[in-house]
Amino acid sequence: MKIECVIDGKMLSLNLNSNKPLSLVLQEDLDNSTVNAHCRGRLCGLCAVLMDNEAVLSCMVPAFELNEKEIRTFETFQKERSMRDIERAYDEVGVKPCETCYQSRSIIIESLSNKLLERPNTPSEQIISELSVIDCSCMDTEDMLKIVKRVTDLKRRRNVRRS
Amino acid sequence: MYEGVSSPIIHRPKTLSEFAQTSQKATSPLIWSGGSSIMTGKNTYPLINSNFDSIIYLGDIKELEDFQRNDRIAEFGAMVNLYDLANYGKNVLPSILLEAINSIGVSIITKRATLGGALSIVNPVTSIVPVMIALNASVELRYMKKKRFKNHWIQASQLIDKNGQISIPPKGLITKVRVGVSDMSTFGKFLKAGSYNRSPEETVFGAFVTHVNQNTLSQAHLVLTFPTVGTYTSRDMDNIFNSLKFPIGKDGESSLIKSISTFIDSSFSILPLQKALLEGFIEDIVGSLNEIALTEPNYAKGESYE
Repeated sequence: MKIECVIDGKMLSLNLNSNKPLSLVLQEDLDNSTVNAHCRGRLCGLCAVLMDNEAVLSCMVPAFELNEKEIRTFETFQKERSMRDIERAYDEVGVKPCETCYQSRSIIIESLSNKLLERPNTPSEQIISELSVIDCSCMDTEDMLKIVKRVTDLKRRRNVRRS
Repeated sequence: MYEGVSSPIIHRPKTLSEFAQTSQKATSPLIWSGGSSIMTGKNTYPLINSNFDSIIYLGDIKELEDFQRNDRIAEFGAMVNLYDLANYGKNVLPSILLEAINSIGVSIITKRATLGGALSIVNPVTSIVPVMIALNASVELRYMKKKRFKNHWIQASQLIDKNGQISIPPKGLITKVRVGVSDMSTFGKFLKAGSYNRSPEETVFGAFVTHVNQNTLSQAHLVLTFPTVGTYTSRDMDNIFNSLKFPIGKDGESSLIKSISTFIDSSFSILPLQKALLEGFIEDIVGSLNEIALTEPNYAKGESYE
């Protein structure tokens, strides 16, 4: 099946098996080293990517759904300003995710902070539960909450300055 | 890696009539509404020894995304995702349904899972199924009969066959789901024990709904789902609850657990762990109902049993 989509800023026309999971498309067809897990939809949470600016687990997205979609993986996301905000928040709080979940957690934090900008009154419990999608216990929930709030704060300040 | 081995044909109908035409032409299609079912299933990628050769994706059918409500019922299209369902229905839907949706996972998962899909997945069965049956929800089923598409409203409990399995006619489709809005005099309890994604064979879902009249129950409905085994519901089991007078003591509780275990054992063979989880659920229900029987809720202040 011919699929046309934008992955990491590149307009691609791919010939793929229609039901191939995005996680395998990235690993096998595009040699993307930042998505390194494929749990067959068992929700380990380690294969998060941004699809049209919203975090999705790439093992749950079949190839035919990629048509006309924009995918950003950690490969390009790590060079963006949003990632610098996240790294700054990691440094300020004094904790960093482990190597296994670093990419995925950063992408989920990005998606959550965007949501928090739109809905500032989101309860803390909901943020913590959203972060629990990653099956890795390297970080404390309180620290994760602080990081998400700090990233949102940095983004909000920048938006105020721009406007 | 497996390119060109066996790539299923993808159909993306835009309307229900287009769906009808497509499903007539397709020999053995898999009807996909989103979620992770085709990604988690065995032999789905690469497609080897699988019993489908094409996928009909329902995501483009706008008719299946409607939502409407009145004072008594809320009606959802089958393609409403669980995240939207929990958000829009926050104030009207029964709390056990919201609990069941939240038990499926965080927004990253519930945004991809749909109501129709959650009701149709056969193995493992999701937590939405027992709750919908306990709430006496009805579903609109569209299926092919003598080369023509027919649609019928049926009770969600009729989706379950005598073996406790979900049975939807081949090429059949759930198009709408209707559920009663939250009622103050209704008591509901939901159980999710175990990890559905990691070990569905050890998981138990339970839903219990009843009307409480002082110290007796009416229209009690207990539904138990063992995701890889089946769903159990029985009028005899419900009648036991309807005949009880609360509060009940430890003896009454253990005889209730014993009779429910007997009912389950007569139909399914479940793990001892599942049995223990089930006993905990019954104890929880009895504990809450005992508490209600011993305290009078103040309706004037808007207190409810849920």
